[in-house]
Amino acid sequence: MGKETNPAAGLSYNKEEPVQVIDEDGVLVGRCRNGDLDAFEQLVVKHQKRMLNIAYRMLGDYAEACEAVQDVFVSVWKNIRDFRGESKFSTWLTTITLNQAKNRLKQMRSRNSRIVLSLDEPVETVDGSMSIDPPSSGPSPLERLEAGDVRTKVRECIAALEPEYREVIILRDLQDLSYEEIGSALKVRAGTVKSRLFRAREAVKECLKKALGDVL
Amino acid sequence: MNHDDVRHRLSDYIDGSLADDEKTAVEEHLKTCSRCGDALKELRQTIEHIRSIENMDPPAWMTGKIMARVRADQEKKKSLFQRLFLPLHIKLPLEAMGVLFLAVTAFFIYENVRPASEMPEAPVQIFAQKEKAHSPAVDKNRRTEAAPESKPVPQKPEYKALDMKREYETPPPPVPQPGPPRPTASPTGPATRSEQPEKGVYSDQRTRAQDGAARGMINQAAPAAESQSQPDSARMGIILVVRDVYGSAEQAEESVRQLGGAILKREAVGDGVIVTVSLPGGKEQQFRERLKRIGEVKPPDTAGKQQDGMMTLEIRIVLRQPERP
Repeated sequence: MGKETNPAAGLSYNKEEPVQVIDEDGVLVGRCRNGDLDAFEQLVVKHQKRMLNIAYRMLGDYAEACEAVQDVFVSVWKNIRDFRGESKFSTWLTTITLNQAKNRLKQMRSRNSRIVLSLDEPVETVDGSMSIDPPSSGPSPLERLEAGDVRTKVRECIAALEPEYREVIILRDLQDLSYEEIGSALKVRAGTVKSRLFRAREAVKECLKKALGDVL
Repeated sequence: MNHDDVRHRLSDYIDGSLADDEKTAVEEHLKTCSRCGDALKELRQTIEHIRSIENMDPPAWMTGKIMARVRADQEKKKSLFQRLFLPLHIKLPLEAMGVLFLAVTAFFIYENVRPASEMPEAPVQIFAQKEKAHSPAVDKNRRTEAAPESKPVPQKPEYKALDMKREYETPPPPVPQPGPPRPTASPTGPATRSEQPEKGVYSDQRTRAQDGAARGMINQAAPAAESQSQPDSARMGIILVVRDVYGSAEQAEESVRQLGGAILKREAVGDGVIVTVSLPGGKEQQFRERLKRIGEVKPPDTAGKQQDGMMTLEIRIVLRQPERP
């Protein structure tokens, strides 16, 4: 298992040039720093959906995403006094969510690596005998395409991306963040964001071309 | 700008993040390059597909569960400092006042309790008892040595009270009485006085005052030694100097009664007694003769107040001063 990232990392981002940004959540954050739980609840209500979708697109598992978002907000509450307002609160929250999702992703991969996925290998049945793994009863890719389930294929193509490309697709095309906001959340420069985004979009395009053919 | 340069900029071109010159160059290239135009079309469709993915709604319990975890964590990890001092603007002044109050109370208690706990019980009395066992001749020497020992001893509140009383009193003069104690004529007064320690044993006036108070002596109007030889003329008719004040007073009173007079008042003053009597006219000289048998009469021939029928005399009976060597 690789080294996990601190979910609350990013608090000290841009230390060299501390710039106070105008933050629409600034008042609520200030109340949270004084221990106001009502203010924190307002922030939770406001941001939980967006954080859940970021986590869900990163993890591809709704239940895991819900757990991740809970951990994110608990971590935010614990570290709210360390938030110095050098970025928008939503950006800081996004950073924590991405780090939390990436940590969980590593844990999920570690768990999944211990599970032997059966393709053509025989599997052990309940009575101890070995049988051939039956084919899936679900719709085949062709059937799904015929059903026009393009979005499912798009999700699969996004999920197939490496996390560093997946996150820029999620932040730019699903959450509609600017390059600067993405750079601030990922702690990379805007040029790096552009480059990763180009590669990520091209990868998804090629994935969809293979899956959808003329539909694209 | 070649094909690769254009295709690397198509993503930014779609997002509108190219600089004006780059944007113009890309657009000029796209006008003449159908392959790059197709790539732009495919990329736009891909982005549209990506953006068509719907957002998921969080479960209804999400907010409540997050807040429950936050509240539980806050209660669990609330530090001692936060519990004691937060919010600072409320708790800090209260705690400062409390500390100040405790400090003042502790100082007050310390200042009032410490002398009682540190000072032994009546050290001067102990010193006086030790001195009692010695003769007056030795006492004179010991007194000068022992007096400084009692000075640094801290005073208890009750001693302070005695000190205050002493300021209003005129302490009786030290009248050493060498020799064996004289016989007493009264079971109360003289007997009490016979138990009084020698004046010389006292190390200071405070001890004298304390001893006098303990024995019920009336010292409020105690005159100085000089005032005994020069009594107030308004009150004093006759001064009788004797060796035994109370015994002589009773003898004088008996003489008054035998001469047909009456005892008007008997008052203890310092080491002496003032007896106010009334005598029939003409009995004064006879009374003086009787007093001369008791002690030395001053003045020898001065008469008291003359009245028509009866005359009033004030006889001040004082203790004889010891003869100086």
